[in-house]
Amino acid sequence: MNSIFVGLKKAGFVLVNFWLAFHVFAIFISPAGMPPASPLLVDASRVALPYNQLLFLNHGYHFFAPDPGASTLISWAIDRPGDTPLKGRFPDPMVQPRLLYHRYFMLAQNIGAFPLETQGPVFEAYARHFALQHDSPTIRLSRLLHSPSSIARIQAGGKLSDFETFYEEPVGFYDFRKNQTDAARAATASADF
Amino acid sequence: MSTIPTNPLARRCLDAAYEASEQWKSFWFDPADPFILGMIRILTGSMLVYSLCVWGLDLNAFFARDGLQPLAAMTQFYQNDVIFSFLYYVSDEWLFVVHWSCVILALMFCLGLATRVTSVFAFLITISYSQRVPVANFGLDQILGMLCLYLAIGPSGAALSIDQVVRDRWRRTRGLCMEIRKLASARTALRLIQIHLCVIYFWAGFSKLKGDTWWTGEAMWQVIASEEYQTLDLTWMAWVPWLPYLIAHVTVAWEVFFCVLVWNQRWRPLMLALGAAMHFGIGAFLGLWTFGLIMTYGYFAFGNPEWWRNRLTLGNGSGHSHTSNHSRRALTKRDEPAIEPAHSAPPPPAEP
Repeated sequence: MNSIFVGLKKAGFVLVNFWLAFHVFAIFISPAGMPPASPLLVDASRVALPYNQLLFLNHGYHFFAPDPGASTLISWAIDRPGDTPLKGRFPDPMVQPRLLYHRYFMLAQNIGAFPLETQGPVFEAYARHFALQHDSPTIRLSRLLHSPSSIARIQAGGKLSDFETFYEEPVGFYDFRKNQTDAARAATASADF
Repeated sequence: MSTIPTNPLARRCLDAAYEASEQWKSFWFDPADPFILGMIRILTGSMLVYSLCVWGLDLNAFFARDGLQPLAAMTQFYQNDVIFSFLYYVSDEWLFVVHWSCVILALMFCLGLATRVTSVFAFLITISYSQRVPVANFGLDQILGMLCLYLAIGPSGAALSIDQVVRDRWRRTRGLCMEIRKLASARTALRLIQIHLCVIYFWAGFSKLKGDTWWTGEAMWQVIASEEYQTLDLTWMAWVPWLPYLIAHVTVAWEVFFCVLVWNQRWRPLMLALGAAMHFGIGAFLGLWTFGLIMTYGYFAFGNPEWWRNRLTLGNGSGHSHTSNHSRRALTKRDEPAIEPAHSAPPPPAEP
């Protein structure tokens, strides 16, 4: 009985050692597969991918790399008949606490990380959220790229928030009345039936 | 029958292999004081509680089925991936209850209550929240997940915890000696944190080398000039441009060489001090205090447990009087001779 216990303990110790070696390999190779990377590194990182995904270790650790670049924001506009459109930006820089602002900012900044087929439903969810906040059935959404001003620009009297540093890219117009009408029509039809 | 090879080369190889195996064992499994793990647990647990409370400020927007990250879209996004998140199975009606239960579990983990169990929950909670809203994540979530994983692996409740207070009271009532138990699993967890930090900085540094602006020095200026990050106006640096250039070069050099120099006892204080300065700068100027702080929490893994124990328990060792190198629970009768006085040696030089 004792020898079995000792044997199991030894086997367990060997397994722990193998796991440690694999774990170190996995956390090291995960960022190596990020582009640009050789097929060798990409294949090696795939070996550890399920393990890294399961333990939430599949990160690149590319903080502000390879280049910091522009920030991405979401701009929205709500048309008001007989009045100027109501406009806003997401996230609002006045949001507190700062961690909440940063979470919102990441929602705007990282939306490009989704594949195109996922971006559509996510943008629609953003549109619905902003429209509901302002009690409006329609809303127009844009992606707003804000480039950092250069040193020369600031030296010449420019500001970080200058109009020229923004680039607006329309995303779409969302009309949630259509959905409501369709849903209501479907409900009525089924009730009539 | 002897298996010792007579060939000198084979013998030398065997000796080298044996030596390497002993060093490997010593590196990963030499029993260590779990005090530092207790410190990291309190700090990481506090950050987890804070992060969860902030999620709670707009819970439905982040996690509801039709919130900003619709469940159907996220499920489609992860369809080929192996991920864990219990939030995919929580309906909107139960979201509030589940969320505040998670806050309570995180608080228990922070205080060191039933730590063996709550530490695993803390890890599962961290990754569940992160993997439900992948694009709302940033460095904070990555480091929080990493620290919670290692705190769940190591005995993070063996020091500075309610568990420890209860255990000590139980021992005292039975007349057993109060001893500082050194544990092999504590060493393993500390080593994993140390190595993971090295990996993070190695890739953080090397990934910057892929970009032109880190070579030209403009990258740091671009970070400073990003209005969305900025909490303090640093545009005055436009008139001293060498300063952001210098900070960019020092950052890259520090990140690339961290994984080598931090293991050298002479360089370690400088490397950790530079890192702390950089992360506090990120907190103060870019408003990323949560990320800046969580990165420095891992630095404690490089510290000397005895030094921290002496400082934080005001020299009384939290009621402990002896140290023992047991990898398993060891109870010593009070009248047995002390194995090694915990505070007999003078404290080593200051280490963070």
